[in-house]
Amino acid sequence: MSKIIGIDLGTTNSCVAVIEGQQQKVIENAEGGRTTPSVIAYTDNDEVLVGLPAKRQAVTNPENTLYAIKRLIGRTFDDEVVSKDADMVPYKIIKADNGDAWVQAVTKNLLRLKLLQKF
Amino acid sequence: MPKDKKNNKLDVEDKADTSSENITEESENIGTPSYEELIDKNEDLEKSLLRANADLDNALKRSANEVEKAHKYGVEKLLIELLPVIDNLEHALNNLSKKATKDDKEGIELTLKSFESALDKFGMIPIYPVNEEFNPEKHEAVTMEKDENKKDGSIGNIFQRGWELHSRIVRPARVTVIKN
Repeated sequence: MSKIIGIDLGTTNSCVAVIEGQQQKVIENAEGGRTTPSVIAYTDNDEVLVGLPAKRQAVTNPENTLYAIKRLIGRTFDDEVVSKDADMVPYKIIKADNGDAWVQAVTKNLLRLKLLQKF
Repeated sequence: MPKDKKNNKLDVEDKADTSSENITEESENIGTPSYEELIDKNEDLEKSLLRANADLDNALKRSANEVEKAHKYGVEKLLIELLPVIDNLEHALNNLSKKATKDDKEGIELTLKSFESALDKFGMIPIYPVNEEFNPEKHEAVTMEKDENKKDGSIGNIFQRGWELHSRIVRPARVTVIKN
């Protein structure tokens, strides 16, 4: 029998649930939380942090901590919402060749240039 | 009225007749399943039995796991509510008034100690990262600070102790991180 899984990818928090029998059940994360912050961070040690740990280190690494990027999905760089966001967030929003809004995270050793494209 | 009843009875009999006819027609259409069909069906049934058994096994394992978690972390909410009391005792120790005697201080220290040992019995361990590297899994960066004597990325001040319950972070330690 096929299994059913549902993912609520939110702007600030995300949640995953499965159908067990007739009932839905939210899957808890490693820390027992039923929701996980929609935050991803690229650290100088080339580590990728997701969720609460990413949020906790945001102060130390604001340029490479990406949050609320769901707002950019499907928008072009010239969009009003994007230019408003670009002034408010510490990470860089750049213009892709096709005009889409992309976000950029650059780690200290410049080995990696992360371009999270239009998903 | 009795007439109506009779009619109803007749109707029912009529329906019964037609439905039995339908059944005979259907069985004639389908015919007896062939040997290959039966083998296929048997294989399908065996597979679904295996799958059902595996599902049951998984469900049992998961429920056992959940019971264990409930035992381990059931007290989590209560303990979280008790943490501010510990914080306040610590604040009291750090900000004793000048009028406070040695005995007052000792009293608070003993209360704090007994409180901590009570939490320890339930698996609550404090996180107090002195001279450690900042680790976002256990610590929360509140702000950055400069200190020539310390390495980048290490912890400067500790604003608030963290707590973990059976290696799950209940509250991260709130710290400052060095960046020169």
